[in-house]
Amino acid sequence: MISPHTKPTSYLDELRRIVPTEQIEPQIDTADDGGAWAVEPATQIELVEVLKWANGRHAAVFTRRPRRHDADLLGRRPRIYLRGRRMKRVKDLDIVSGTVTVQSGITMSELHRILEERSFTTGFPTRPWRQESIGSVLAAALDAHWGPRYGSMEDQVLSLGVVFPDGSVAGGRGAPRKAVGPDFDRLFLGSRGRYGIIYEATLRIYPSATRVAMSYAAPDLTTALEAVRGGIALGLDPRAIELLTPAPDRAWGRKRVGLTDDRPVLVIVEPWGPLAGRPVAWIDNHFATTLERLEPPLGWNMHEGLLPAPRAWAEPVVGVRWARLLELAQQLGRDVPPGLWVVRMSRHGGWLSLASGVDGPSAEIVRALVQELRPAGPLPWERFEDGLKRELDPKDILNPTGT
Amino acid sequence: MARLSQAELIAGLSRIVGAEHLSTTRPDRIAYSADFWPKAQIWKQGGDIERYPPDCVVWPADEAEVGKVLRFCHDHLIPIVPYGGGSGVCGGTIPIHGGVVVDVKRLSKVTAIDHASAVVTAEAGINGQHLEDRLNAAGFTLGHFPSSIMCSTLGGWLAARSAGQFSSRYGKIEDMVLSLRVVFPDGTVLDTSERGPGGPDWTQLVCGSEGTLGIITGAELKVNPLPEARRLRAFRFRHLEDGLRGARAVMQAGLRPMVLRLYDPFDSLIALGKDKSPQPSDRQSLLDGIRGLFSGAGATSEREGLLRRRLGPLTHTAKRAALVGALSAPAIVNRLAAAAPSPCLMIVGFEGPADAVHADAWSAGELLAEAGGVDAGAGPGEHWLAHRYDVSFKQSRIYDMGGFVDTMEVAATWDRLEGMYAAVRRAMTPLVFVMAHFSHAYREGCSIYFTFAGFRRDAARSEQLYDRVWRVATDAVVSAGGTVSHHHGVGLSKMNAMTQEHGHMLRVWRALKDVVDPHGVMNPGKLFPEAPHKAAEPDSSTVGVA
Repeated sequence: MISPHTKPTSYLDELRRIVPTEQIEPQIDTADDGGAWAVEPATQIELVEVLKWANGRHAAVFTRRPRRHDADLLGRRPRIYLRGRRMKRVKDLDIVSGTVTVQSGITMSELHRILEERSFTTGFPTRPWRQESIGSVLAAALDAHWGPRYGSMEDQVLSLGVVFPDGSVAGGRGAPRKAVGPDFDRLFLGSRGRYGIIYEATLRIYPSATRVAMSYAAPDLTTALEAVRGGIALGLDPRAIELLTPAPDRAWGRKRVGLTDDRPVLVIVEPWGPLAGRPVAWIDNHFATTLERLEPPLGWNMHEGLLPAPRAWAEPVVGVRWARLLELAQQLGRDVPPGLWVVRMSRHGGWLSLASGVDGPSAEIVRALVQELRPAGPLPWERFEDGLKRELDPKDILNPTGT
Repeated sequence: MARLSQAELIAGLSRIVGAEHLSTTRPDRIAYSADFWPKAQIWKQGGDIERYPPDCVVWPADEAEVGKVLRFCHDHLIPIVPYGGGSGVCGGTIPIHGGVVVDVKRLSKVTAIDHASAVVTAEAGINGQHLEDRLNAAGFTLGHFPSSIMCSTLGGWLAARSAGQFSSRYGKIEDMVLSLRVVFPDGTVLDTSERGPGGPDWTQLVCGSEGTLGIITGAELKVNPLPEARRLRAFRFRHLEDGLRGARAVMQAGLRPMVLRLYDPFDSLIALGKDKSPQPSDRQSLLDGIRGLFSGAGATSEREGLLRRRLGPLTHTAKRAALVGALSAPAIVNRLAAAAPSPCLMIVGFEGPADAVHADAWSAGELLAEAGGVDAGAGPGEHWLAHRYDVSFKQSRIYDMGGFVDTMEVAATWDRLEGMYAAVRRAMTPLVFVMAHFSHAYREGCSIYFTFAGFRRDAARSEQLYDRVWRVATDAVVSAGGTVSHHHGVGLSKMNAMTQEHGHMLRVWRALKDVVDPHGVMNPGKLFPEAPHKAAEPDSSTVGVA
């Protein structure tokens, strides 16, 4: 319980007893709030102690950067802005089982660099979110453009270590599959730190992926979809399949990949790592020759290095099944809007979005579909999630909304 | 809340489902008082055939009726036990607090097959084989083939996180499900299909909840085109560790066999049919006898009828004496089995596009040969495929003779697998006869399927032994860093291991339970210990009360 007489300076003294001074950075303060500090715990124990302190002081603990109105929302509650960058150890690289256990503060690029030295990679894409920590990617469930080979982001997680708002710790090393009740880790993936803080994750790793991409410039969406479907039917399960039409403000590589006004839709297929001990080059050729067997022959290009990623997903993204994609392709005909992309494609469908700032009838058709597939109004489980928040964080310590 | 009398309960539920879809008859109450949990068989051996009968059984017609039944029970604090095929082996559907069994078998429609998207939508009560038949007719397969497929339902698979025999290729049921519909006790229907990217995945929070949160009424699942080709091959390994090395190499090379099973030495004896030795020694005769007892008993049985051939000429008394002799000295029998000069058999199979099957089978053969595997031809694999459903409906003959048999499917990452196998064997061998095979292989690890048999002179002692075996075995699994269940679920049998398994993560379940089932009526006393709502034993005048 906060005492009206407790000064922010005494909070700071208390925090200094938990983490060294150099790991605490005072934030912009105002005269009448409870104080705000960015705190960088270096160990799980420090993290636990910070949360216990926050509980005792009814502090608010954020896992994001400070925002201007935080103090207005929270009044005299002290605020902690956790930074995870000191918790960046690779705790275990198990090459027998193909797993890596890392602290959550490690950045995606650092993790990939360390794994690459051992000829491994994660099931996460290497391109977006390079500077994001693995913890933030998991907590936000930033989904990847990865395809049928590795599965979704959630599929990469074998187990999570979580600190609850009261400082209790749960989690451990996982098994490949379990049947011991619900998968509780899924509550924390995508919950943006509402129920607990991910301090550690055990992830699946894979042999280093090939560094090439096959691309095919299609005249329309229907042809592009047929190319994807044909490739899957031939037994290919690449790590990524994408369809995209470059947005107007992204003129990258149009010539390089063969895009023209008559062929505006790009199909990208990225193979994956070595198969049965064969060299990566074998996989590249396997994909290339298999794709060439598609009827009619489509003229695939092979590119050294991976193709540039579409922009970060700022626009709404919706899951869409093949049946709807085919309908969309028929509606659009040859008038495919720029800035469209379909990622994480599999034989069942993919994720669809359209860049902002694109106008015209075809863009409206795509937007209408996105709108139709977006959940309307509050999601049915939101009231359960509010209930869970009350149960797991009764003092509203973690990422409070001020309500 | 006033407790309902039996008459009030019947009247209330009859108004919802109709009198013809409700039963309080003794045969029905006995039938629904237990599932395939071996401990319940031990109770029956002792003459206790209806230890936990429900107050009544209802068969709702659709999701709306399920919702009304749940709401009724929720309002009157009546325990609800969801029921699919009743094929569970962990006691998950035993109505230990009485109440109402809600059998969802009437929810058996395939609602839609989306050919373009390769997605099926089906109701939860559909029988597994019926679902597969419908898909096959449309050119698809679910790829989910549990040995109980003919007596289990889609809802049961999802509730317990079931695995099929082809899980290495197609995944477990939780890998196949895209979304599900679940009715919570207050009648709320949750459809998890509206999830966008980001946000917790409620499908996976309901999957595996074993009816303790709500009743699953339907699901959307990924399906696959019927395979063009299939190829099975067997390999013999001199040592178990060689076979495991080979299995790991295959999975980590990125190959996806539909099946990859490695039998330990004694289980291999059964699968390889070593019983045809021209001059059987005494030891082999003993092993044959025990092997025969297991046939038609556990999931490893490959030779139906062997028991009859081996022990057929003997009288019932002589058979029983043989069994008592063998299973009363499990340590000796286990030692003999371990010393049996048997290689370890592996079955590996691929299916899919013909070219891919050929290439993958060739690659797997190379990797397995490198690990010391010797090609044993297609026979054992074909035999396994033909006989893979010989189990599950039939209870083992061991029960007729006063013993018990059970299976335990655990899993771990590759680095811990051998250690876990040894630890579990060490814990169990003084108590019961035990054998195992490794199946459901993945890139990161594998499941071990232990089959064990024990005997005591009366049901009470058998039950004590049974509980002790489970306790020491699950302790060994947890200590070795594994999980105590890969696909059978928890129910009652593994509930006591859940605190070790989940630790503080159980807080999430308790929070879930408080939020969606505040009265604690959903399948009380199952899955996790220390339920927040302590259920009371029913008295004779009122129906079960949660």
